[in-house]
Amino acid sequence: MSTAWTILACGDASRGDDGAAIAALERLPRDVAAMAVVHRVGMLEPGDLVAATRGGSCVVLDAVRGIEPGSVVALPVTGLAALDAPAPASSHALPLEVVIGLAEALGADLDSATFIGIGGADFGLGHGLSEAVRAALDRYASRIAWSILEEDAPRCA
Amino acid sequence: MHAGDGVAAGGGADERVYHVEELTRVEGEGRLHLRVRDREVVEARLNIFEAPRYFERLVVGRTPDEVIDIVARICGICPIAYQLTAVHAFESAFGVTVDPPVRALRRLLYCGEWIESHALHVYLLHAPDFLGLPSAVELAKLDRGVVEQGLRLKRIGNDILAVVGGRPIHPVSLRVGGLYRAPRREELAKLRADLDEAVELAQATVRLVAGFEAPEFEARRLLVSLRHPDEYPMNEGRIVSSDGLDLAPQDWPLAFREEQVEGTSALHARTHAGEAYLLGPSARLELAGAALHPLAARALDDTGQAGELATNVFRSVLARAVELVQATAEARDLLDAYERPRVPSVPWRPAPGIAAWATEAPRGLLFHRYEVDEAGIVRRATIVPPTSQNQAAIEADLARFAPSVLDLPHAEATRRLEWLIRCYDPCISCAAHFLDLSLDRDGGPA
Repeated sequence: MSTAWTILACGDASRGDDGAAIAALERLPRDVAAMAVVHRVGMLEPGDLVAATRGGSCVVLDAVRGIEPGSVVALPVTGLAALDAPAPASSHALPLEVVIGLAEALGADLDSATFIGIGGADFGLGHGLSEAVRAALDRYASRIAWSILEEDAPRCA
Repeated sequence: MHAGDGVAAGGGADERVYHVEELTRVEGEGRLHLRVRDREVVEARLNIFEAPRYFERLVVGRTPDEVIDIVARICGICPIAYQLTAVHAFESAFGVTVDPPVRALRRLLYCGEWIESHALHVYLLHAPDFLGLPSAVELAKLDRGVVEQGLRLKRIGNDILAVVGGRPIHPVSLRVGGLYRAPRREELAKLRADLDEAVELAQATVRLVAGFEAPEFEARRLLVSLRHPDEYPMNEGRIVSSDGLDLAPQDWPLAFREEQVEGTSALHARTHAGEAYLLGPSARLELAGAALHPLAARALDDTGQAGELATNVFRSVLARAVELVQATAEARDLLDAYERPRVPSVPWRPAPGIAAWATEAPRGLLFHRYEVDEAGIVRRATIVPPTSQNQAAIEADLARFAPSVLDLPHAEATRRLEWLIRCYDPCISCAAHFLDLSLDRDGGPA
């Protein structure tokens, strides 16, 4: 293993599909999970990104609104500030572009941060995961694993 | 960021229209309109065009515990205020008395909310104004340590909500009669060291903001807050004012009323005599400062600026910082004294009648009133948030302050007007952030 990995799992397991990222962690292969330090952060804060990208790479996980429930999307974290980007379900209080801007200003290396989201259908309190998300959890976990393994694989010069 | 900043010709040669497309760093959607004639502000309106959210209708037909979950959704920054006001209203109406450890936990929750809300406002929303910066991002580039300090405080406040409330946003632990679950001592112990740090950070915040230069401005407003004989007001106390009002928290309607104002989707509140009044940290310190935690009282005294709080709203940032010391120090004391409740909640039976209460949200007095039937079902609801109560004072202060900026370059004038608005920490909603400001000037200097 060459890269220090941090997984920032956003969301709330008691709020329907908002718990998708947390549920996906349980589906990660053990060897992949062992490659990363996992933080369940609830909502993403600038300090989380600063700490997670200090000397390593980071994957931010969250359920998102605005895409097909169960579909998986991956993009650079910096891309989340774009107007047409999928909207993470867990961001409150500080707008996401401010979280990202603050994190960058505070020294986060966001070039090494990837966002992997899954479309949610229902964020109701106590509802559990929707069928669409439940059915896509393996696909979501495999995308997370792939991102870590692919990035971590030795490459020819 | 002010897209569209600039001066445009209005209806005639002597009329100027100042237009600002976006004001960030307030919660919600609103528009400010100022009309100036011969250097006199003849109209100052903060129009809230945030879509009506119908919460008062949504809770009709619901049980008290359902109401508590629903009203939490009114605000992502101060959900505890809405929940606790409703809880106290129902408990007052149903004759429910909770055990002291439950009361202490609820107060700890409120401390957590004050910490995260005040830290957000002081550091990320308001401090850039005093430093002449457009945003907290620019502040972070200029002084990373200051923003890290604010974010750390905010995190500690959120952590309290997560441990006691079950999660940091829209917590789920509160119910009529107590809590669904009381944390074990070991769970709270994790917060103890953080609160030592938080107290120090809050004290540093007071020193920081005491050094901020504020515009000269004096407006003596009627101040209103809760006051409690034994503690700084949060969830209990009597409604008092700077002109001698003294009411039970249920009796807000005896002194105040809401009215519909054209062009805004929020109701305005005034006294029955039609007077605007000011709520929030400055009012609380002025009316209930005698109950401050000793550390908070000392922090305020050391600034030598206590005398300005009641008259210069630009000093509200200091009041908010002092309340950060209050909330962090009290949270630490509550943790040290914590005894897990024997049972987290007591049984209760509904009773028909009026359930009403007021608590102190971070932004000021929040009043709820519910009409409840024999089965405990809500039949009618009224929720009066602090921002709608402050709105008339904001407009009055804008009218008073505006003449002092008319000779400034347009961009600086509008920046100062927005700065004034942010002094009240308006929480128009926890939705989009958008305030559109226009200033019509006719008959005055170009």
